[in-house]
Amino acid sequence: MAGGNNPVRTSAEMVKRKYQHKLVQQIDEFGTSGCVGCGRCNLACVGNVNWLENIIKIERAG
Amino acid sequence: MFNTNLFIPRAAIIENVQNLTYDTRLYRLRFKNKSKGNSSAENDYRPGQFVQVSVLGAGEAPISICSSPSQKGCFELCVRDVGLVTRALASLKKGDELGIRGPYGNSFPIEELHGRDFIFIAGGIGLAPLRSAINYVVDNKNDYGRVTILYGARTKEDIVFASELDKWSRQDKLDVFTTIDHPQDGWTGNVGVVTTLIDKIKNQSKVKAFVCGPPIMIHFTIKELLDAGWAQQDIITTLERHMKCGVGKCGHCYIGGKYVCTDGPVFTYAQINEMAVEV
Repeated sequence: MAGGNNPVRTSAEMVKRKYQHKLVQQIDEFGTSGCVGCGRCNLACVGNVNWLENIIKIERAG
Repeated sequence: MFNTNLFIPRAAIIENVQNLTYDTRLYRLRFKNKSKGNSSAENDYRPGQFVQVSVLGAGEAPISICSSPSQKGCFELCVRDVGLVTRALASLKKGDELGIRGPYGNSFPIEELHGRDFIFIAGGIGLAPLRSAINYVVDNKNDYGRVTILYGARTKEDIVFASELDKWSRQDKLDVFTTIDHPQDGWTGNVGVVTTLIDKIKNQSKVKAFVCGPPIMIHFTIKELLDAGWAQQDIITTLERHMKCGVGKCGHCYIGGKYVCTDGPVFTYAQINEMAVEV
């Protein structure tokens, strides 16, 4: 931006923002997560964490 | 609201383009068609608000309105080439058309503060959004007290609104202090970053200070103001984030529980602390 500001300067920050937008901010705002279950998080994950299932578990628990 | 439909831009014609520096230009705009229905005229905004500017084929960018609403018939945008849309804007000239959605955001808290003094501290292009407030106060000077402007730019070639800084310095009830980071040939004014000018306002810690500029400048300026005794709610600054809708729906600019496009972009430092945002 004009003053040299970039809130997502590194790809790490971009990824953090993507997850926060869907899983933190939208819960604050709408009470439900923005996860639509597309599963791309699982495709990208190299650690086999099974994001999708955990996101769904957390949402069902809360 | 300039545009009647929330998401459809209204056509504006570029009346004039003025080069302020090597990478920054001032555009004066008026709407292509007269206002009708509930769409409003060019001066129906408040200092601090911004518009989403659309350039066909490039996209939209949020740009602060840098003119005062006391100026009728047109409004002004100060644009620096930093990305896709702003670079596409750079190729537009007088007579060309662009789209405007807005005015969005909240405004600088000055209109109701009659009789009060104000301090405006700007770094680089941060002077653009503050210029809206400064010219509003200048145009209504009987309603307000003393104004102090502290302005810092990297070099003398980076100074935006140089002629206006000069004009403001010659007004009564207005003190202007300008500085550049390092000594330069042809510059006889102050040298040092803008925080070195805070000495000039040390005795005004009860006066509301408006701070705009690059993040690092805002960070150190606020720190110095707090150290010098300013209260958190008397330090006012602007936050910027990537935006899309501009009307508090898409979540792109959501931070600390607030939408920068509707709850901001103007926030007090007290609010920013509450939002747990680092500035």
